[in-house]
Amino acid sequence: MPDIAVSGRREPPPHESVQGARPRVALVGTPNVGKSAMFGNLTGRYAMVSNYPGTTVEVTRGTASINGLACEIVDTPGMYSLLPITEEERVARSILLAERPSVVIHAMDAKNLERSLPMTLQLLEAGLSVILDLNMMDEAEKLNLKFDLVRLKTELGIPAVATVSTTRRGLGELKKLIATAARPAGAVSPVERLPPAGRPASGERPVDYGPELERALEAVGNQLRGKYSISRRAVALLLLQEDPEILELVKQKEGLRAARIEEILAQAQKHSPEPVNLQIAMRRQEYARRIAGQVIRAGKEGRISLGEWASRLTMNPVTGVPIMLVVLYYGLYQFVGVFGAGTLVDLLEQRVFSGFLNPVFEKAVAYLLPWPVWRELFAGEYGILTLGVRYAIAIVFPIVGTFFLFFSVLEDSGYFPRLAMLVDRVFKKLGLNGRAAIPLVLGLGCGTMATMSTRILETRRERIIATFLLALSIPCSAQLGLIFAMLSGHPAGLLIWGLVVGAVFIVAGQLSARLTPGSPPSFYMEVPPLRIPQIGNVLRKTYMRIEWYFMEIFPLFILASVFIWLGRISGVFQLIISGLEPVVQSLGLPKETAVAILFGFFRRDYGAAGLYDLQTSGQLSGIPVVVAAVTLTLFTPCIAQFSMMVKERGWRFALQAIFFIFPFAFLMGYILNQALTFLGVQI
Amino acid sequence: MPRLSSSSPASPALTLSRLRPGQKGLITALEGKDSRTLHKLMAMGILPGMTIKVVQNSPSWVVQLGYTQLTFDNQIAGAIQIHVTP
Repeated sequence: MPDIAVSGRREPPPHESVQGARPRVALVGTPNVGKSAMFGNLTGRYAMVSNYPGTTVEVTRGTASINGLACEIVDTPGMYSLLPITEEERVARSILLAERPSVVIHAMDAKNLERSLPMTLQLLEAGLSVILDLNMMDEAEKLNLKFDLVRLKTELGIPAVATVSTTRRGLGELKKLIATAARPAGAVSPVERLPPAGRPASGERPVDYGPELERALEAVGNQLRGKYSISRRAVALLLLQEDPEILELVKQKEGLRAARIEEILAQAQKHSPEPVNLQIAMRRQEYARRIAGQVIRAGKEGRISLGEWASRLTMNPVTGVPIMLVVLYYGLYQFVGVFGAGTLVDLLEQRVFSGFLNPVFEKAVAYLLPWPVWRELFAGEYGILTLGVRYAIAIVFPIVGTFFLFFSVLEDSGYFPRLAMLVDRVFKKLGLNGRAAIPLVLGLGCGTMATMSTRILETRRERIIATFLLALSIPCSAQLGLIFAMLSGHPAGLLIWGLVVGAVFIVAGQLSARLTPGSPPSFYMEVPPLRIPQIGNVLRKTYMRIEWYFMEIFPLFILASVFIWLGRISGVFQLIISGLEPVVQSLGLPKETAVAILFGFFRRDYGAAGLYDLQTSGQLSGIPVVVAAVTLTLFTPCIAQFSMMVKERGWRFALQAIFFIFPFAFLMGYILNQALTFLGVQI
Repeated sequence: MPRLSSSSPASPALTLSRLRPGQKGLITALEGKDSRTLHKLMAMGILPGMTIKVVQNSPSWVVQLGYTQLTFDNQIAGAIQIHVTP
């Protein structure tokens, strides 16, 4: 991954030039501390979700008028320390270090002050201007915790405020603090405020790391002559913690001095009685413990609260698994699958498009374009307006919208880590961890959406495995509907289909777990308290994500329409079909199946109807029904899912996957046909 | 194998995976095959010198650390060395 962390060489995001003059305020903190709700409180509705350049990590940006001062607010992905491990943390650090916010609000769950302070210390060491936001104060008060904020401020030398983002408590004071810190007079960029190397201001060295490490820090700091967007002490600390990205950067900037720096680092590691990064972490923790001890006064401990009791029910396997099944059944199957992908899709497709818009498009295009070939590009069975736009709005939008709503609730309620911990063991066998439950279950609804949601997985390896399994062996709701319709009268056929597809899923999962390079995933998550989601926050997040999704997905559908048009007028489709006919015949299927398979890839209702028609007209019966069902399931559902694979994983991976999956689907069909015929199975 | 320890434990190494729900331990060291995991543990505040309490151990581990609950798999539980405390 290219260095985007501290070099400042990275191209600024496109919107930066427009809002360059505004002070930038960054919200940072670990996941589940109410950052997004606080972001909403500060910005109101002017916000946008986008991917950080070169990554699939979501970053939300918005503008706000803070007591009359126009600011840009950035909600950074969850981060535990300045030494990044996940892609989210890497992005969060990049925003802090490359975009140089004028103010950093470190939001934390107040009761976890002690555990959060080490990151505050790192932000201060980096030379950032920090405001401490002790959020979720109501939860801390329920635990009878009292905070001496005056003491906290003087100990750290920075402003601090107690807030409850869900009720907007403390918001006024937070705004006042932001305005004071971000006013142009105070908004000197962190670098300019930095003292010369070797003499850091006291605010930037809150922690004393002991004589040995301090000597090493100073020696490294003295060798750093390049320009860095964070303090030299912070650079030296990251170097001592063996941060590969920073080491690379320093090598570029310091040239010959890099060798001397590496020598100092190696010496420090050698002379240290215990690993340096542990020593650093422990020093920070000691400091945090001391401050937390002075600031927090604990009353008598409360009894086990109702929330804690409910929380245990969701995690205990005996009660947790049924609860999970209920959540998945109502949340994903009923809400996203039946309501979103069924009711809403039918409404939009039948009523709005087929009943109203498409005829209008047809007439308008016929009126405006006299040439039939051009008419077909925009209207007709596969036109941009009648297929592309209809597909994006009538089919994908309801599914995506309901899913985003469900997912925002899952996120804000704190249920997601509980779900992941329940299924982790099962998913480990497939080279995935518990987080993969969401994409795989979602795949039974819509594979396109599911492929996109693989971004919640932590490593690239897991995303690759999940994307592949989705493309190969998870049938989407359209395929499932068709398969159930075709096999409804044949229980034996349904059983064979289930066994074959299930076996492919398990074998493919285990094989890709072995063959995909990289270490097997480990699973760790923080379990936040169960919370009742705030409707406003859920709706705002859902809306922003839908908006972002539309910008990303819309062009794909337009492109698909253009491809179909090209394929048809150039005769390429006819060529593919005549090439496919002998293949499907070798599986014991009638040659008309080829048409259904090709067009089904571009337009799911057509493929489904095509096969179903063949069956009802008696051309498809017995063993071939099961063979067709298996082949179609293993096939990648549709062009939209393929486009999403390209988008999320790149052309190379998408093509490799397709070149494996298509022949494999036919091969399995062939083997199944031979086996069933040989065994004389009656279906 | 990277090993992060603050002091050499006097008693034979006992990892968290030997604890049952309700038991508590004092973390003495972190040890594992994957230094990434160790960094994560450190960043999440799992450090030698802290007291950790097991809430449940199946299907995944759930532990209480101060006011925080964390969940992780067997591999991570095996990387956390502890002394059992009453």
